[in-house]
Amino acid sequence: MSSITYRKAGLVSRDVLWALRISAGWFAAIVVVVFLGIGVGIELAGGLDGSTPNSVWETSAYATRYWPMAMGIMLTPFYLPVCVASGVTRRSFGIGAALVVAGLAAVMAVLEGVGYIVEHGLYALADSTPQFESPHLFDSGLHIWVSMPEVWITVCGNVAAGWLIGSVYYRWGWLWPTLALPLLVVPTLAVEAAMSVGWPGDVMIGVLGVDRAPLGVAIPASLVIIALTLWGTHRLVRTTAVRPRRA
Amino acid sequence: MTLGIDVQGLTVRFGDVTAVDDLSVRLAGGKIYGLLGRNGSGKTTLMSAIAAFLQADRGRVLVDGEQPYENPAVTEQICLVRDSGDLADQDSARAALKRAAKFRPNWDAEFAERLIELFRVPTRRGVARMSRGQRSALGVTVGLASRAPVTMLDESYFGMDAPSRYAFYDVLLEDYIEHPRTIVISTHLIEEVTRLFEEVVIIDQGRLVAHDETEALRMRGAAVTGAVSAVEAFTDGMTVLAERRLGGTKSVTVFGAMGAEQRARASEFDVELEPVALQDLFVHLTKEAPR
Amino acid sequence: MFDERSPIYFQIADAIKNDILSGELEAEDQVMSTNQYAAHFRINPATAAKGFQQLVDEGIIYKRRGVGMFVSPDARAKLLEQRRQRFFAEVVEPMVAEAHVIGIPLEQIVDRINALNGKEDA
Repeated sequence: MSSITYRKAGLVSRDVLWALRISAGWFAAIVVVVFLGIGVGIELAGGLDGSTPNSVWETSAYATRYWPMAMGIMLTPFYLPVCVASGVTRRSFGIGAALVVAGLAAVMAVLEGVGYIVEHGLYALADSTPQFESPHLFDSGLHIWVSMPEVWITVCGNVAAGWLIGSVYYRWGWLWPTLALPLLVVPTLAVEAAMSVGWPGDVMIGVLGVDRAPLGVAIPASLVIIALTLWGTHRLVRTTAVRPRRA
Repeated sequence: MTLGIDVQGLTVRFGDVTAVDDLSVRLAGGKIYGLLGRNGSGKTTLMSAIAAFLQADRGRVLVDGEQPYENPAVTEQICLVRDSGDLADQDSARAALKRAAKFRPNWDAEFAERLIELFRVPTRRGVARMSRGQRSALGVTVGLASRAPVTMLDESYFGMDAPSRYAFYDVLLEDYIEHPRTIVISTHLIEEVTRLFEEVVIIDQGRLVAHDETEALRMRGAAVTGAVSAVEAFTDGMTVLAERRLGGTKSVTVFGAMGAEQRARASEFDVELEPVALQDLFVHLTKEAPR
Repeated sequence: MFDERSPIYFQIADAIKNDILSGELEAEDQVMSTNQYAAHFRINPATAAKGFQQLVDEGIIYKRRGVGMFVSPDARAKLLEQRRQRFFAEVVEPMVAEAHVIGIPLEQIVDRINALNGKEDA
């Protein structure tokens, strides 16, 4: 593998992340206003007398998971032709795309981690502590060194699955990928199930009664699933033809 | 730097459609080629295989002796602009040029600016909101300013209006003279561009029909006109592309070298030999109904 | 300025020959470079170069290394000689043949030529 490959991969990831900066900014702002502003405000104003103070920020995790996933879905159909037309190999594009997955997840991890701390502070002002409904690797929103990695791994799983789904649709059209969709979302569910977090974690612990594996096993297992997803998608992309523009 | 292209027995299929069918052609580096073919003749597919947009089902493509597919040192030397270019829809012209500057080793930013102005491409508007002509002009700008040793424009300038097209022809020649490279232009607007091409490649139904120097190819076609019997006797054994008859006069388009010997024979048979425009030759060579 | 009748490089060579015959280009004048010519008339430079090479081969123009191409001292004389030879083959002979076909006696043609010549002299 030549150095051109890595240099171009770096250019690809920066190009994509730079192109996403404006929509990502709007997305983050909306999430903060909706969940931290409006959500926490209502929770603190109305719901604190007697009942358990639930974490509102926790529910923002769905937004910060599915929006990046949507971006992952668009990676190949929108950006592979641009890359190939710019003289970039699929290998470079694939490595760049993996970096985009990690980068988007990092942005979401910071957003979520900081959000948990802010929420903790707001609840503290009302002499309360947010309670989590879904299972997490952390008990307190202050444990940013746990919350950020958890979010990072979860979002990575989602964006990687998005990239896989988008690439499969780009290559084979609508029929077969749609039939195979239940299979294609397995990797992202598996990542959360391995760590027993989110609703797949609920299913593991609450429904199946499986205890969470020790972190020394759970985290490497989830990372391996992500790596396999990225590797498989990369393999797929490397033999994918750029589609004709029109018939 | 100029790179040659060697296509060897290339076959590319889409499902059960064979777009390029066992095609071999060798293009020496540093020339301007015209790639002529009807819609669906396989022009785009051939160029796509050269530019590593897709893989061959059989045969192979060599650019400067190497296969381009997933070969980073080669792909960065090849620039194919399909139609009006593969640009991200949300991009502005600015963003598209910025990207090309990052990815293209020989990018000439000043030249790109000059072209953008020449073709009057709006710089801030998103690609999705540009007119066809503006998108074409942006694609051509990226294609030329990339200065790729192999530059291929696939009907890229079709959306441009006549003044822009002629400006494009001028700029293309001027830049080619200053920076010689291998340029392939696919088109069916033949009359306008014939003289820009040093050589012409005609393909039909995925196969090579003709490849020759433009002027030599042009002189290979001839219209033979005269009395029915004389024309028939004269053209006996020749490759006849078309026939037309009006009363006792017959006109036949033949394909083959028309040297001094044939000219002498023509006066002997009392038939007239006239050259055929490349456009007509092309129409005759590719008029067979698709299989 | 170019047509479909003959290869463009012949036409380029002819155009320059005409310029020399008409006196627009004189002996030792520098001729446009191939590239200038190509750019000006929107012609592939290799095609234009072929036209120039033909002129070099015929001794009408000559190359000075690193400087450019120039009209040969005897270019005009050569071209006049070429045209004179072609005049009979291309003008006189077909005229005589045509006269023969449509039944114009040669004497009548000669008379006409003498008359035209007389007018010119007068």
